[in-house]
Amino acid sequence: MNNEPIKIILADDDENDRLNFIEAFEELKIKTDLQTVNDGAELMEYLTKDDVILPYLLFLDLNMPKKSGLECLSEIRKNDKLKNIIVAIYSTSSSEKDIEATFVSGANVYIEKPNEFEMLKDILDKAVRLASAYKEPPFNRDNFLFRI
Amino acid sequence: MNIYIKNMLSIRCIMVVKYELEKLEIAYNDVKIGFISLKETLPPNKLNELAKRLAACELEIVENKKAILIEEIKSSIIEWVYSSDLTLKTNISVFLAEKTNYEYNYISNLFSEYTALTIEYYIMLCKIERVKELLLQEENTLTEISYLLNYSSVAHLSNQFKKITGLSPSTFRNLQLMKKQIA
Repeated sequence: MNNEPIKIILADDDENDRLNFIEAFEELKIKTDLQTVNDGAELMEYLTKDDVILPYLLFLDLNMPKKSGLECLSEIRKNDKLKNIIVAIYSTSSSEKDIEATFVSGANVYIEKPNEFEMLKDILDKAVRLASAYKEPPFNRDNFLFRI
Repeated sequence: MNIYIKNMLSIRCIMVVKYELEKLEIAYNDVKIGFISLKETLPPNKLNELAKRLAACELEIVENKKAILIEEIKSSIIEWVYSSDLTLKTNISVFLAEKTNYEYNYISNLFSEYTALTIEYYIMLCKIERVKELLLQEENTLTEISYLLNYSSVAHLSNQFKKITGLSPSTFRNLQLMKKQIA
């Protein structure tokens, strides 16, 4: 339908996770323009640059040095320029407390990092498809909460 | 002349479109969700002017034939999901076939080809989206909501909600309420 690639950013401090993530997207059919940053501080620096093209979808690790995912999330939601970015939390934690805290702070999707590559592909595919559905009515960003 | 419009959702959208048509002094027969029927063919400059004004309300004129059909399918699904007329709410595949005048198989294939989702999944997402709205309005019980959206039982609704969103209906509602309290 629209063939413009979807711009995606991943913020994760673990190099293996970043590589897996890039590989998974390469194997998916969806056209994406993917970029990675290494920690929360780098992410916020990137997003607040003047000439930045904002991502449509941001995958955010929770546990990162310098600035945690949760801190980034609340900064993003408080910033008028950034608050419309769809945020998918991408974490190894499955604690209900973390999940609740991220949703309440404005995360749209909560993804537990899977152990298998095939599962990662399926999950990322689902997350991107959901995110693209939320571009148009009747879908309302405020109600965009998914735990995958 | 018929014009197809993307992103129309409710009676309010129809009112906006009618208002813009009247302002531009364009004569129309009818305005429905996703669709305007005009009395005469518009000259390109007037069509552009209309497109510009509608774009300001986040409405978009669709031109490609298949894209038009996709929009027709989407707006029919939305109509079905948001309608409170329960006699409509029998089989959605029959409803869509009647609305578009194509076989359900054809529209289903076309839909998956053009959008990133299968038509069944899109319908499910729309229904769940409606459930979310109704849950937050707090006017209907879950049983009433399941009846409104043609689910066979509350359990079925609850399971589908959980399967798609990963959250139970009550968790979803609590999270949204907590979010509002903080904001």
